[in-house]
Amino acid sequence: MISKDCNLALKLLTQYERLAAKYGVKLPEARIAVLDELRLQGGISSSDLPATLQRIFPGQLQGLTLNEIRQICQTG
Amino acid sequence: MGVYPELEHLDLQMLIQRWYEPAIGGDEYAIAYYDELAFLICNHSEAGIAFLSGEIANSDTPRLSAILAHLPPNHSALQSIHYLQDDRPLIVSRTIDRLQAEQIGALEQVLALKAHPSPLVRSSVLRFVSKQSPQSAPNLLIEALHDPDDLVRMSAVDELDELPCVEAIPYIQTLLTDPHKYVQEAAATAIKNLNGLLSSV
Repeated sequence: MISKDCNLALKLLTQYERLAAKYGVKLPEARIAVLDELRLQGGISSSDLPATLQRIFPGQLQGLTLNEIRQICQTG
Repeated sequence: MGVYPELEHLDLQMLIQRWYEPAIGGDEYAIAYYDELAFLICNHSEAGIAFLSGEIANSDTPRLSAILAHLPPNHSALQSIHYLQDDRPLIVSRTIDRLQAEQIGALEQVLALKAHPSPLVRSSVLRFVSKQSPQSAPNLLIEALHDPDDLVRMSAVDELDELPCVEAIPYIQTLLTDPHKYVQEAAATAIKNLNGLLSSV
């Protein structure tokens, strides 16, 4: 797995609020709370993210959860 | 699931109906809302894309920004480069991102906006230059680490991280104590990622 893709995917799945702000997108507080909970459990995936961030998500890691991506990226 | 799960299972006609309605939660969330709608509408392929391309001329700022973000690149209905001169920063910013996706060689026109008054636009310029001219990007990005706006500093850090530019580590380190938490977060992540690359060599 390309390290660059791993780094970007992990960043998108854990720092969505600030990354969305770069595109002028403000997320509803209720949705942020849901994403935060999913992130805590490691179950967040690209399909949970705002559309603007889904578009830049590395293709081969789309649909995988944060836990799965961490596992893949650790084992290279 | 996206930001608005209540939109996920709507058919095209229902999504179109929502397009004409106010955003859920009010104007504050309009950009996020119409972004999701445009994304889902485009997932309906030709019919959805045809609908959005027909709405370009009628759209207000949040809807137009959503169309710019999600209409497929190089679509004939949208002459992206014309929107670089728009007086709405969000539209200019989305246009720059779109031009990058379209692989249009507009480096000179985009660079002319690097001192734009809007941090959203300045951030988009950094993203564009990083993708279109990665060899020459580091100088511009390192300079942007000192931008007065936190959004731009944060964007510069992210682009240096994603290039990747390990030579920027000492410059990024100074932002670990930036006044804004998002910049601190970006810096910490970038340094971790870039150091990780160094140790894997």
